[in-house]
Amino acid sequence: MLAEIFSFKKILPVLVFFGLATALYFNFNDWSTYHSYFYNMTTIDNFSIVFSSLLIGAVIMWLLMAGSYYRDENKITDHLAIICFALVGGILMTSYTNLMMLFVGIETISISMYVLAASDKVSLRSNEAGLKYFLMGAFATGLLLFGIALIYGCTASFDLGVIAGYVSAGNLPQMFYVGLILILSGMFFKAGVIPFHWWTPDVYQGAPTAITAFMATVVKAAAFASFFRLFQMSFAGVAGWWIEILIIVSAVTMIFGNLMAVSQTSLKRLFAYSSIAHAGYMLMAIIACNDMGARSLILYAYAYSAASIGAFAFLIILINQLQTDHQDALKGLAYSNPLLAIFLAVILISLAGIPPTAGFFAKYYLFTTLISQGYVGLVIIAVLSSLIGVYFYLRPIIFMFQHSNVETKLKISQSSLAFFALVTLIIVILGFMPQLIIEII
Amino acid sequence: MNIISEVGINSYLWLAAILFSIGVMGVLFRRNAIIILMCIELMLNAVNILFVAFSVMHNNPAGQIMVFFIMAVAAAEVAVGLAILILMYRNMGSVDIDTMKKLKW
Amino acid sequence: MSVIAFYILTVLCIFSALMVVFSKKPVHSVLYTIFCFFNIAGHFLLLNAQFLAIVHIIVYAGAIMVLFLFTIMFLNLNAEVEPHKSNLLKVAAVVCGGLLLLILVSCLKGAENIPVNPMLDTQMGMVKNLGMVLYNEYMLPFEMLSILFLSAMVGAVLLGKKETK
Repeated sequence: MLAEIFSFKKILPVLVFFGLATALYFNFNDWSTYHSYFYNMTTIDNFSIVFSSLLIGAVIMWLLMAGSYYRDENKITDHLAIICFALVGGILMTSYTNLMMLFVGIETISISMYVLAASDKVSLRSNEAGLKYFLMGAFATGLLLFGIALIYGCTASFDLGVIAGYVSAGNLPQMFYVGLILILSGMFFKAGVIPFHWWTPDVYQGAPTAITAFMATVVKAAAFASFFRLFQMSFAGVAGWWIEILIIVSAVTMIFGNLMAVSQTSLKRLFAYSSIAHAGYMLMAIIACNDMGARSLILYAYAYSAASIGAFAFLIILINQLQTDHQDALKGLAYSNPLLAIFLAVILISLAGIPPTAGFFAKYYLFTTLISQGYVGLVIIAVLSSLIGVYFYLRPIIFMFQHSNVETKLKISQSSLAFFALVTLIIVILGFMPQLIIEII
Repeated sequence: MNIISEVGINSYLWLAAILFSIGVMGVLFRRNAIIILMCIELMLNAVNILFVAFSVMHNNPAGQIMVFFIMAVAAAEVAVGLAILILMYRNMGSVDIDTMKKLKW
Repeated sequence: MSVIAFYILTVLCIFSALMVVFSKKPVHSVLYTIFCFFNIAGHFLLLNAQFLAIVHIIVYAGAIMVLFLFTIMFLNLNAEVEPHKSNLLKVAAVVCGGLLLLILVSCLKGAENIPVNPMLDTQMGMVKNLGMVLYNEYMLPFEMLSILFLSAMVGAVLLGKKETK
């Protein structure tokens, strides 16, 4: 299930690629088996399989993308190793049934990310991003652990099933609720949701672009998978209590993320704020807290990961060649690189949630799920805030079609064009056939 | 003799809460990244005390295993954190977090 | 007897934790932290967690804090370099900490109602017992911890290496 391969530099990416592909294959071998392993430490169910395939798939895509980023650097061995370790952490986070496993998984992925965020050693911004991420992340770990300790104090167990039994027995002490709030704030931090979001724009902007792409896809998906799993499996009994917090937080997150993104001129920072907004939408799936919620979360995570990995791949090319990520750099792109501009437009349209792309159907499915549960007010807020989103996602497209005096011509190799074509293909396929993902579990 | 039944679990909760709050206060209050890191260690230790107290109270060894894990993770975290700190110092000549103003819009 | 020990340890512990936050020189902070960790190890002993007490001293005082001291000495950070922290910020931080404490304590009341397991197993905290549990039930997290360590090790080396241009 897990692939870690160290080898010679040249063939390393290829090896890791095949390792990940076999991991994906073995992953699907466990389909519908519902085994739990190692004294109920992990349980492989369809939810975790779909999510770990998302993670593995995202890492494969990342690998294809990062090939061009790392072409003339020799750091790739270290980075690939750490990425693989982070992937292990992410897979733990999707399939745990014990809080101890959750803790170890979160820490594995976070420590890898601290290192990678700071890994551009000569860049002050990268150092700063690493240090900020590290200090904030360690602080959040403290909160999460305090919460776990209080829950353990009530239930005398780390097992999600035992905790769920304790919750359904009722008559919970106050300590339990305090623990729940602390765990919530720890998870909010890891998912980059509102009261604990301040690190996101800074870290996303400061970290090397390839790493930012990894954070926005794999780390985010893993965080939401574990969030959903924890709250569905063990705290569903007190749902009435925490759902209200989540509703407020998710509404504020969506509005704030979209509003802040509007005023950004740096594309990297724009994507950072838009990732906050998307985190708000994904929180809505956790509010639903049933199978429909799980499906919409999965669909949303797939759509968002595919689109954002494409967007960041474009940013890598842009920053490598023009040393800027200001949106003015896009001017005239539609005339100098028409094919690339079309692909980028599809990606942005999917992020904005306009049909017929994956992003639209993910949002549509999510909203119908919530309406069927009676959260109409929240859905209205979500729709309104995604209208703001449409504005700032379409703005770069408009920029691309403007003529500019400075002719920007990006040199794109055939392979990276093929990569963009692949991403676009995934987005469109998911857009036309969302049932591929929805009906799978 | 059981210390929990003598002083009561509440005393341990108090102790952990106080230590935790001191740690949080330090994180908010100090500007030196190394001391912030130490305050985070204090927070983790408050959690450790709580885990051991609960573990003894419930007579369940899982809590002590968790403390063992927390210690291991804290060690790894500190190693990485100090590496980042040294990197930062090499480039900036300071570990004051007020100097981190490069990333603003 | 052990109650007196508990209170002595607690007072020392809180005092040294406060000194960590408020002392001016980083080295003093480190020394107070070490002192605080010894007190916490004492608490572990009182709770019959002998193994953890020893490991705590070895890992925290022996490894982590030495790493801190080494970094401070290495980077020569011992000067009192905190030029302009405004008083307002100080007050705000203290108020925040106090409020958090208040909230925590007021919410944590009523913990006595949780049933205490009357059977006390004094052997629980010994190496043998914990080892059996660790290597049976908690085998998987233990192995995963090694991946975490590998990641941290590769990371520390990656960050520590001089950039070759």
